[in-house]
Amino acid sequence: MKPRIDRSAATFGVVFLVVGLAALVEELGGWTVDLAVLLPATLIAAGLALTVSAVLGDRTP
Amino acid sequence: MQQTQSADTRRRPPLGTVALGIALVVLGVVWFLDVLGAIDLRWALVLPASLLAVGVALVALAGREPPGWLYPVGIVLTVLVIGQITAPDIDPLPGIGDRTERPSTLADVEPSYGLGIGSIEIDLSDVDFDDSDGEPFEIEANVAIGEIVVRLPADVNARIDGHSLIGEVVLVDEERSGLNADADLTLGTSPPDLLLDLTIGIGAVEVTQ
Repeated sequence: MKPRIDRSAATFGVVFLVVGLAALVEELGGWTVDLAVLLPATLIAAGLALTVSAVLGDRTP
Repeated sequence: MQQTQSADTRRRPPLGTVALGIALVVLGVVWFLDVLGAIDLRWALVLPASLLAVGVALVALAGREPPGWLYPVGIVLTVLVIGQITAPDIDPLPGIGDRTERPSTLADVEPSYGLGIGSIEIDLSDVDFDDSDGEPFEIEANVAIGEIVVRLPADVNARIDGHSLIGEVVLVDEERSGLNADADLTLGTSPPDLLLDLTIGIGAVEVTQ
Protein backbone atom coordinates (compact mmCIF):
# COMPACT_ATOMS: atom_id res chain seq x y z
CA MET A 1 0.00 0.00 0.00
CA LYS A 2 1.37 3.39 -1.03
CA PRO A 3 1.89 6.00 1.66
CA ARG A 4 -0.39 9.00 1.37
CA ILE A 5 1.40 12.34 1.24
CA ASP A 6 -0.07 15.82 0.99
CA ARG A 7 1.55 17.31 -2.12
CA SER A 8 0.99 20.94 -1.07
CA ALA A 9 2.45 20.37 2.40
CA ALA A 10 5.50 18.59 1.00
CA THR A 11 6.15 21.25 -1.68
CA PHE A 12 5.57 24.32 0.48
CA GLY A 13 7.45 22.66 3.34
CA VAL A 14 10.53 22.07 1.20
CA VAL A 15 10.44 25.62 -0.18
CA PHE A 16 10.22 27.11 3.34
CA LEU A 17 12.93 24.74 4.52
CA VAL A 18 15.38 25.66 1.74
CA VAL A 19 14.85 29.44 2.05
CA GLY A 20 14.96 29.33 5.87
CA LEU A 21 18.08 27.20 5.91
CA ALA A 22 19.88 29.45 3.39
CA ALA A 23 19.04 32.60 5.38
CA LEU A 24 20.07 30.93 8.63
CA VAL A 25 23.43 29.89 7.18
CA GLU A 26 23.96 33.44 5.91
CA GLU A 27 23.15 34.96 9.30
CA LEU A 28 25.54 32.56 10.98
CA GLY A 29 28.24 33.82 8.64
CA GLY A 30 28.88 30.68 6.70
CA TRP A 31 27.73 31.74 3.26
CA THR A 32 26.57 34.83 1.38
CA VAL A 33 23.21 34.03 -0.17
CA ASP A 34 22.91 35.01 -3.82
CA LEU A 35 19.27 35.17 -4.93
CA ALA A 36 20.36 34.16 -8.44
CA VAL A 37 21.41 30.84 -6.91
CA LEU A 38 18.79 30.53 -4.18
CA LEU A 39 15.71 30.97 -6.38
CA PRO A 40 16.54 28.27 -8.99
CA ALA A 41 17.73 25.97 -6.20
CA THR A 42 14.40 26.48 -4.42
CA LEU A 43 12.54 25.80 -7.67
CA ILE A 44 14.46 22.54 -8.16
CA ALA A 45 13.75 21.49 -4.55
CA ALA A 46 10.05 22.32 -4.97
CA GLY A 47 9.89 20.35 -8.21
CA LEU A 48 11.56 17.35 -6.62
CA ALA A 49 9.22 17.50 -3.61
CA LEU A 50 6.18 17.74 -5.87
CA THR A 51 7.35 14.82 -8.03
CA VAL A 52 8.27 12.58 -5.11
CA SER A 53 5.01 13.26 -3.27
CA ALA A 54 3.01 12.66 -6.46
CA VAL A 55 4.81 9.35 -7.11
CA LEU A 56 4.35 8.17 -3.52
CA GLY A 57 0.68 9.11 -3.48
CA ASP A 58 -1.15 12.16 -2.29
CA ARG A 59 -3.91 13.07 0.10
CA THR A 60 -5.53 15.80 -1.96
CA PRO A 61 -8.69 14.68 -3.79
CA MET B 1 -16.25 -0.73 13.73
CA GLN B 2 -17.51 2.74 12.97
CA GLN B 3 -17.53 3.49 16.69
CA THR B 4 -13.88 2.34 16.96
CA GLN B 5 -12.85 4.57 14.02
CA SER B 6 -14.69 7.50 15.56
CA ALA B 7 -12.99 6.88 18.89
CA ASP B 8 -9.61 6.69 17.10
CA THR B 9 -10.31 10.00 15.38
CA ARG B 10 -11.21 11.62 18.69
CA ARG B 11 -8.07 10.29 20.35
CA ARG B 12 -5.73 11.60 17.61
CA PRO B 13 -3.92 14.64 19.05
CA PRO B 14 -4.30 17.91 17.14
CA LEU B 15 -0.75 18.00 15.76
CA GLY B 16 -0.88 21.62 14.69
CA THR B 17 -1.82 22.77 18.18
CA VAL B 18 0.80 20.50 19.75
CA ALA B 19 3.47 21.86 17.36
CA LEU B 20 2.45 25.46 18.09
CA GLY B 21 2.52 24.79 21.84
CA ILE B 22 5.98 23.23 21.69
CA ALA B 23 7.26 26.10 19.49
CA LEU B 24 5.96 28.69 21.99
CA VAL B 25 7.57 26.84 24.91
CA VAL B 26 10.92 26.59 23.06
CA LEU B 27 10.81 30.28 22.06
CA GLY B 28 9.91 31.27 25.62
CA VAL B 29 12.73 29.22 27.15
CA VAL B 30 15.31 30.58 24.66
CA TRP B 31 14.07 34.14 25.25
CA PHE B 32 14.19 33.64 29.03
CA LEU B 33 17.77 32.30 28.84
CA ASP B 34 18.69 35.34 26.72
CA VAL B 35 17.21 37.74 29.28
CA LEU B 36 19.11 35.93 32.06
CA GLY B 37 22.31 36.22 30.02
CA ALA B 38 22.83 32.45 29.83
CA ILE B 39 22.83 32.62 26.02
CA ASP B 40 23.30 35.42 23.50
CA LEU B 41 20.26 35.30 21.23
CA ARG B 42 20.71 36.97 17.86
CA TRP B 43 17.30 38.28 16.83
CA ALA B 44 18.32 38.29 13.17
CA LEU B 45 18.25 34.50 13.40
CA VAL B 46 14.65 34.34 14.62
CA LEU B 47 12.97 34.91 11.23
CA PRO B 48 14.95 32.29 9.24
CA ALA B 49 14.81 29.82 12.15
CA SER B 50 11.02 30.25 12.34
CA LEU B 51 10.71 29.71 8.57
CA LEU B 52 12.88 26.61 8.82
CA ALA B 53 10.68 25.29 11.63
CA VAL B 54 7.51 25.88 9.58
CA GLY B 55 9.10 24.04 6.63
CA VAL B 56 10.16 21.11 8.80
CA ALA B 57 6.68 20.94 10.37
CA LEU B 58 4.96 20.89 6.95
CA VAL B 59 7.27 18.18 5.59
CA ALA B 60 6.94 16.13 8.79
CA LEU B 61 3.15 16.41 8.76
CA ALA B 62 2.75 15.86 5.00
CA GLY B 63 1.77 12.24 5.64
CA ARG B 64 -1.03 13.32 7.97
CA GLU B 65 -3.11 16.47 7.88
CA PRO B 66 -0.95 19.57 8.42
CA PRO B 67 -2.77 22.56 9.92
CA GLY B 68 -3.80 25.15 7.36
CA TRP B 69 -2.34 28.14 9.22
CA LEU B 70 1.21 26.91 8.54
CA TYR B 71 0.90 28.00 4.86
CA PRO B 72 0.15 31.73 5.36
CA VAL B 73 2.65 31.92 8.23
CA GLY B 74 5.32 30.35 6.01
CA ILE B 75 4.52 32.66 3.08
CA VAL B 76 4.74 35.80 5.26
CA LEU B 77 8.01 34.58 6.80
CA THR B 78 9.41 33.80 3.32
CA VAL B 79 8.69 37.36 2.15
CA LEU B 80 10.35 38.80 5.28
CA VAL B 81 13.38 36.49 4.98
CA ILE B 82 13.85 37.29 1.27
CA GLY B 83 13.65 40.97 2.22
CA GLN B 84 16.26 40.39 4.92
CA ILE B 85 18.56 38.72 2.37
CA THR B 86 18.15 41.33 -0.36
CA ALA B 87 18.16 44.44 1.85
CA PRO B 88 19.93 43.59 5.10
CA ASP B 89 20.07 47.27 6.16
CA ILE B 90 16.28 47.55 6.24
CA ASP B 91 14.73 46.22 9.41
CA PRO B 92 11.91 43.83 8.37
CA LEU B 93 10.30 44.08 11.80
CA PRO B 94 10.78 47.68 13.03
CA GLY B 95 11.27 47.81 16.76
CA ILE B 96 12.35 44.20 16.98
CA GLY B 97 15.91 42.98 16.79
CA ASP B 98 19.41 43.99 17.81
CA ARG B 99 20.76 47.53 17.42
CA THR B 100 24.26 48.83 17.91
CA GLU B 101 24.92 52.58 18.08
CA ARG B 102 28.54 53.72 18.09
CA PRO B 103 28.71 57.54 17.74
CA SER B 104 32.21 58.98 17.53
CA THR B 105 31.39 62.64 18.25
CA LEU B 106 28.91 64.43 20.47
CA ALA B 107 27.03 65.61 17.37
CA ASP B 108 26.32 61.99 16.43
CA VAL B 109 24.77 61.15 19.79
CA GLU B 110 20.97 61.03 19.83
CA PRO B 111 19.06 62.27 22.86
CA SER B 112 16.75 59.27 22.78
CA TYR B 113 17.09 55.61 21.81
CA GLY B 114 14.23 53.13 21.78
CA LEU B 115 13.41 49.54 20.89
CA GLY B 116 10.41 47.28 21.36
CA ILE B 117 11.93 43.84 21.69
CA GLY B 118 15.62 43.02 21.50
CA SER B 119 18.99 44.31 22.51
CA ILE B 120 20.37 47.81 22.07
CA GLU B 121 24.04 48.58 22.61
CA ILE B 122 25.05 52.24 22.84
CA ASP B 123 28.82 52.54 22.72
CA LEU B 124 29.78 56.05 23.85
CA SER B 125 33.40 55.21 24.63
CA ASP B 126 34.74 57.42 21.78
CA VAL B 127 32.63 60.49 22.63
CA ASP B 128 34.15 63.44 24.46
CA PHE B 129 31.38 64.85 26.68
CA ASP B 130 33.61 67.73 27.80
CA ASP B 131 32.56 69.36 24.50
CA SER B 132 29.02 69.95 25.80
CA ASP B 133 28.67 73.73 26.36
CA GLY B 134 28.07 73.95 30.10
CA GLU B 135 24.79 72.03 30.15
CA PRO B 136 24.99 68.26 30.74
CA PHE B 137 24.04 66.16 27.71
CA GLU B 138 20.92 64.07 28.37
CA ILE B 139 20.41 60.62 26.87
CA GLU B 140 17.34 58.49 27.39
CA ALA B 141 16.97 54.84 26.32
CA ASN B 142 13.85 52.70 26.56
CA VAL B 143 13.34 49.02 25.68
CA ALA B 144 10.18 47.04 26.39
CA ILE B 145 11.70 43.55 26.50
CA GLY B 146 15.36 42.70 26.12
CA GLU B 147 18.55 44.47 27.07
CA ILE B 148 20.18 47.91 27.16
CA VAL B 149 23.97 48.01 27.19
CA VAL B 150 25.81 51.35 27.46
CA ARG B 151 29.58 51.70 27.28
CA LEU B 152 30.98 54.93 28.71
CA PRO B 153 34.33 56.67 28.22
CA ALA B 154 36.80 56.13 31.05
CA ASP B 155 36.96 59.71 32.32
CA VAL B 156 33.36 60.89 31.98
CA ASN B 157 31.51 62.76 34.71
CA ALA B 158 28.03 61.26 34.58
CA ARG B 159 24.85 60.74 36.51
CA ILE B 160 23.10 57.46 35.63
CA ASP B 161 19.59 56.29 36.50
CA GLY B 162 18.63 52.72 35.63
CA HIS B 163 15.25 51.08 36.06
CA SER B 164 13.96 47.60 35.27
CA LEU B 165 10.39 46.52 35.94
CA ILE B 166 11.40 42.85 35.97
CA GLY B 167 15.07 41.96 35.68
CA GLU B 168 18.35 43.52 36.70
CA VAL B 169 20.23 46.80 36.59
CA VAL B 170 24.03 46.76 36.62
CA LEU B 171 25.66 50.21 36.69
CA VAL B 172 29.43 49.58 36.65
CA ASP B 173 29.77 48.06 40.15
CA GLU B 174 26.25 48.87 41.37
CA GLU B 175 23.83 45.97 40.94
CA ARG B 176 20.09 45.56 41.61
CA SER B 177 17.73 42.81 40.51
CA GLY B 178 14.17 41.60 40.93
CA LEU B 179 10.86 43.44 40.59
CA ASN B 180 11.14 47.21 40.15
CA ALA B 181 14.92 47.16 40.25
CA ASP B 182 16.27 50.72 40.49
CA ALA B 183 19.85 51.89 40.66
CA ASP B 184 21.62 55.21 40.31
CA LEU B 185 25.25 56.08 40.13
CA THR B 186 27.42 59.17 39.88
CA LEU B 187 30.73 58.90 38.08
CA GLY B 188 33.50 61.45 38.52
CA THR B 189 33.91 64.23 41.05
CA SER B 190 33.01 67.22 38.86
CA PRO B 191 29.44 68.23 37.91
CA PRO B 192 28.08 65.74 35.38
CA ASP B 193 28.58 66.29 31.64
CA LEU B 194 26.21 63.42 30.89
CA LEU B 195 22.82 62.42 32.29
CA LEU B 196 21.73 58.87 31.42
CA ASP B 197 18.18 57.65 31.97
CA LEU B 198 17.78 53.95 31.10
CA THR B 199 14.49 52.11 31.43
CA ILE B 200 13.53 48.56 30.51
CA GLY B 201 10.28 46.65 31.03
CA ILE B 202 11.54 43.08 31.21
CA GLY B 203 15.25 42.41 30.98
CA ALA B 204 18.59 43.91 31.89
CA VAL B 205 20.23 47.33 31.94
CA GLU B 206 24.01 47.26 31.94
CA VAL B 207 26.43 50.19 31.99
CA THR B 208 30.16 49.57 31.74
CA GLN B 209 33.09 51.95 31.77
